[in-house]
Amino acid sequence: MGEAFAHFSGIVDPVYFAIVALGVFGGILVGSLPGLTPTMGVALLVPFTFHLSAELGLLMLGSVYVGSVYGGAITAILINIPGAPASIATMLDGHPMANKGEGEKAIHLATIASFVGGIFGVLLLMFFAPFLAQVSLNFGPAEHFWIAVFGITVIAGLSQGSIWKGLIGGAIGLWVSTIGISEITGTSRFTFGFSQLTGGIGLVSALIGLFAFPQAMTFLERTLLNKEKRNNKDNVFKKSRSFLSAINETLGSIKILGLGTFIGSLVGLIPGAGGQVAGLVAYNEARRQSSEKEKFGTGHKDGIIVTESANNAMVGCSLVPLLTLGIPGSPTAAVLLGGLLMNGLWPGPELFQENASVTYTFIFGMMLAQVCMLFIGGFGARFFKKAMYVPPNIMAPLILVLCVIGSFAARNNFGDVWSMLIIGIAMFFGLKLGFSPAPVALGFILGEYAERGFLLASRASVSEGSVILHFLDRPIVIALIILTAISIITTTIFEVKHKQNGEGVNK
Amino acid sequence: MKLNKLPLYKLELIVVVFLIVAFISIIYTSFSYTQEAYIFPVVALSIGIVVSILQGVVSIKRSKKQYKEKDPIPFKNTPLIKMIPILLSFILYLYVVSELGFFVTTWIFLSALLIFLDKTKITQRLLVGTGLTIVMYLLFSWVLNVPLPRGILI
Repeated sequence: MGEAFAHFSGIVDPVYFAIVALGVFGGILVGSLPGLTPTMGVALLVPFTFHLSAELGLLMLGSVYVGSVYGGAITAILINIPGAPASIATMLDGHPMANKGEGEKAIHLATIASFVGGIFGVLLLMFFAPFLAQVSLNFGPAEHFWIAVFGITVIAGLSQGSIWKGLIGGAIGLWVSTIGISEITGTSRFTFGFSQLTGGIGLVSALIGLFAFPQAMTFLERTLLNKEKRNNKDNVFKKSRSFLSAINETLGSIKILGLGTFIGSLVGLIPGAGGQVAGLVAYNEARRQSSEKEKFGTGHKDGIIVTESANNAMVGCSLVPLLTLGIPGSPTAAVLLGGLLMNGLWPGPELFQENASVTYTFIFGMMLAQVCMLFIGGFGARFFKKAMYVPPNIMAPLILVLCVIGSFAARNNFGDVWSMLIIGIAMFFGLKLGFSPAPVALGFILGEYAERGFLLASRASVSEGSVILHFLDRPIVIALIILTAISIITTTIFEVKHKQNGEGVNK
Repeated sequence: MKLNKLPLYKLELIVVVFLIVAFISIIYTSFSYTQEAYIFPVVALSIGIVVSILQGVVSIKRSKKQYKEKDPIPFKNTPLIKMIPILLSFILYLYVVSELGFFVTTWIFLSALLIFLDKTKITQRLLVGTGLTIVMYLLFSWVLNVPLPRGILI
């Protein structure tokens, strides 16, 4: 911890402060615009941060992540559309409260709960991450391979809907990661005669193609169908409430605040679970424990507090497995991994030793982002309400152009723009058929890591005389294999239960 | 056979068959590389084949009478015919942007698309398109020093 605080002075810089404030502001805008998810916002931003220093780039990405997860609550509360997937549970009580004219109170409660949850999540990140990173010091190629395998089993958790579709997407991502010249063998693979593919598919163009382009197409679709009708209800701010009274009310529900923060932190630490799960699990638990069960869903303050504290506690904690093992805790964290790699930072002990300055500045920046969120969110609710009504027929062309700039800027290569287009069109149709972009992204990111670990370990095993033993006989490897098995078993059980519930409902 | 009338299970089966054929072809191509170069992609693609078959089984199950009627039609409300010209204009934009340069091409593309999507406010849309192009150009090219596609114009 002492080392962490030695880097505290790094964040006390007006430029860093401005970047964090700008990132949070932009993130809240992204989150409060229905359809723009935190994952998409971070994916679009990654190439532009490449031209900033590593500290500033990561601060910007982290701040957008914090802002956008919170920003989703504003839309959920005011117009009953979750601005981000994490805000689904916030709608349940947030919107009924807004319908009573207490929109401002609902936003204030969400802001304070988000702040408390968010700060706790970042503190856990600060305590847990260096410890786990120390453990990862003992990792060799075989351990790296099994970590990647464990990360890949997370794919099933990241897939919304069918597990099989998630795994198909993951397999495609793994294969796409092998396109181009292999860094271990030097062989040029799967270029099909296109010289542009020799350097492989750009990570940024793939992320933009997977997350941003399909969203632009969805906006176009909705515009052409005239589906976007948002009722601008002015009465949601009928009863004005002070921020101070909201602080008192939130602190009055300290037990609920603690419950949301605890569940959110736990879910964040589980790779692949994400804010959507955190919010829904916390909401259900709060309702189950409450003596006022019947009031949940009618605008109960506890419903907002528990959900928002859980969502935002998840943010910091989802970065623990990411920064230490390279396994993202949420889809947005998977994209953040891309941002780390672009800045030449590989998750693991090096992050907390050789790159300690960048890493701790980033972590303190995440904490500063929570403070900025408290002020911007707390005092800007009325402004963000206006931002929600930017029509999708303006957003769609704008996102299309940003997709071009982003995919071109990363490597100054127009071939990447064509890759983005092909991946984007495929993903748009894939989304229609229930495929999710997160498993493809994770397969793509972890593929290179897994292959490198596998090939280096198998070369090392030649000297030991047994490939099997080298991959199975070390204690950390055994622990990782057990974790992988648990991940597969729990996901299968979840899928079977989910299917049974679905069939039950259908009957 | 119209795309916007096909139920989900049929589309899934088409995709599964396509993927299995594609994965097998790529595996076949892989064997022209050295063993170290092909082993990982072959394993990944083999997993892809297995899970595609499993997805195929799930889709076939859903084609049974009792589930058939409840199966959603994914492209039922998708205005594919209207979206194709927009997509083609975007592809044309990509071809032209590296020849003419970012600013001029983006201004034309953005303004034209904004007007196409809302023909009732042509002047306002033209202003929005011009404003957004100027802001993006200044922000990325001047402030952030992000490389933008260059051509014979700006």
